[in-house]
Amino acid sequence: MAEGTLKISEVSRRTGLPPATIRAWERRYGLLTPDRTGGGQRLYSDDDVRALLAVNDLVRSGWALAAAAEHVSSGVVAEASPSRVSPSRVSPGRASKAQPSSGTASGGAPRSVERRPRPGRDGATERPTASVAVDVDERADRRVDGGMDTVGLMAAHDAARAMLRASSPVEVVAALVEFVVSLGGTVGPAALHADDVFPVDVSLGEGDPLLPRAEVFSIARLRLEALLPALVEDARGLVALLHAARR
Amino acid sequence: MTDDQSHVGRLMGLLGSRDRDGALTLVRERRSAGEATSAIITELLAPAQRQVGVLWQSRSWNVAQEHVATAIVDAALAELELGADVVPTRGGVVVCCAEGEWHALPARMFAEQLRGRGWEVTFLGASTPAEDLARFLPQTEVVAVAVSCSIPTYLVGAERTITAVHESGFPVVAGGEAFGSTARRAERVGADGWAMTAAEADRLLSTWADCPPALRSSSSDRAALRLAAVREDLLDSLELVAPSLRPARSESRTLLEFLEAAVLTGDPEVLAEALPWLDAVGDVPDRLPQSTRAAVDQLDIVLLAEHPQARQVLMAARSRWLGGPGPT
Repeated sequence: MAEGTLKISEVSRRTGLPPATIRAWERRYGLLTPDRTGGGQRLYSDDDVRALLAVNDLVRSGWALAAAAEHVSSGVVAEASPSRVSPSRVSPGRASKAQPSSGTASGGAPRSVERRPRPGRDGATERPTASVAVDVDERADRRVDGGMDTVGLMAAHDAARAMLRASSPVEVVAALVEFVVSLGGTVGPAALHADDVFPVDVSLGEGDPLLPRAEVFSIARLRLEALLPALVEDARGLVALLHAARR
Repeated sequence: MTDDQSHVGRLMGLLGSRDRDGALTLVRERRSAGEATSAIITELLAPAQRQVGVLWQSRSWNVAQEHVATAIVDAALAELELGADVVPTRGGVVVCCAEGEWHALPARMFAEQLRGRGWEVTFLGASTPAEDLARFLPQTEVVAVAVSCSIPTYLVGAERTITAVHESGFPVVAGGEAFGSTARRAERVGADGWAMTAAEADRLLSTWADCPPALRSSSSDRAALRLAAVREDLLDSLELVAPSLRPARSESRTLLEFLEAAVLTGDPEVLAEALPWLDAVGDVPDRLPQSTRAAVDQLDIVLLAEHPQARQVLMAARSRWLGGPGPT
């Protein structure tokens, strides 16, 4: 193992990972074995940096974190290409922080340039290769394989655009209702006991309560469960802004 | 009547008459009077929302009234969020609801209080399926993810959410009514910490910001999942042995869901707490008196052979509810 000379702040800069994450991965998965200074400060090596980059690449490609860490720890480390060691590398989370209020990347476009090895939960996995950042047609993501992802994401995209164009709270609510309906759900008044009702009021206070409904176990239900919460959150914030602007 | 109580009473009146503008005016008045956002939340909005819940559970308000009132309290909270001006200096926190938990308002109130204490909070909204959660979790500096759960039947969803968060490498602080008043349930479902108030969470997060905790594993009882898998079969068996329970299948299902949560956490109190209000609330107009008790006793028989653990938890909850040993 190479001798440790890098402080955690430098490792954080090189990998784009926050120090707390580096420490957590070290503790949780035994991924790194830093040297310590006399004062107890961790000193990392270039091998440690490569291991962190490899784990991060796998996770962003769809691997579960524990499987990725085990994979890398066992000695199979993808050689990082020069472009990936750039200090200016920005992680997707930072990009999404610029968004207002809820700050989620809801309905964001799927990453198109990364090869996606199958998640390694059972150990029978593809080895990550040096060409991780390669354009491929195949997608191992089970959501896209099921054909659900594109339709749901397009509907969420359309709803978000409609909300952006809204000039009144009522129009925001209309966009939300249209989203539910376009995915195969319905919207109706509050009812006491119905298994297929989502207990969230999409009227956002603009009139009588409106509750979405979708048959249990239907694809409409699965899509709405995945996409509705974040969209409702965005709509809520927008309605509050529109009300405030009118005062 | 104290000043606080009169304000809560005034807000309840506005909620009852669907007066959204009046409610927002009340909140603006309190803020102009110099009251802190966190105080407005904990002393006005949260007590009012709890009363809304009581009115609905006692059937004084119907579900439409409850939704309208909740939407107004929600709007009042949004008003506070818009006017907040605390600069975040202390680190990032993500707040989300347990999978299946659509009661987002308590989590929102918690999120806003954390913002008031200088945390940079990302609120994900209501229930997100655990398998989709990872794409909402940021890669940037986040001290922890706070998972909120209000109804105990969603504790199994909370466990899935916590597992998903741990897969992404973040520690979890759990909170909400579903976790009760001790750390026990939270620990059983794998949370790294538990907090009843924003102040408690603040202290925990401060500690974790300097020294992140090791991530726990869940130690919940898998018997709960086996029980959930046969839930409809158990309901069929229940109605075979007790045909009078047939019209109350929905209530029996809820009873089973609470039992599953009690088995999951190893805490009969989860079910014992629910039995009195399950008994009081029901939407079957002609339901027999004491049918919850009948359902519990019949369920005991149905569970006898194949789910001994669930049966033990059921009996423990029954005796806490009724104050004595059950039928032998």
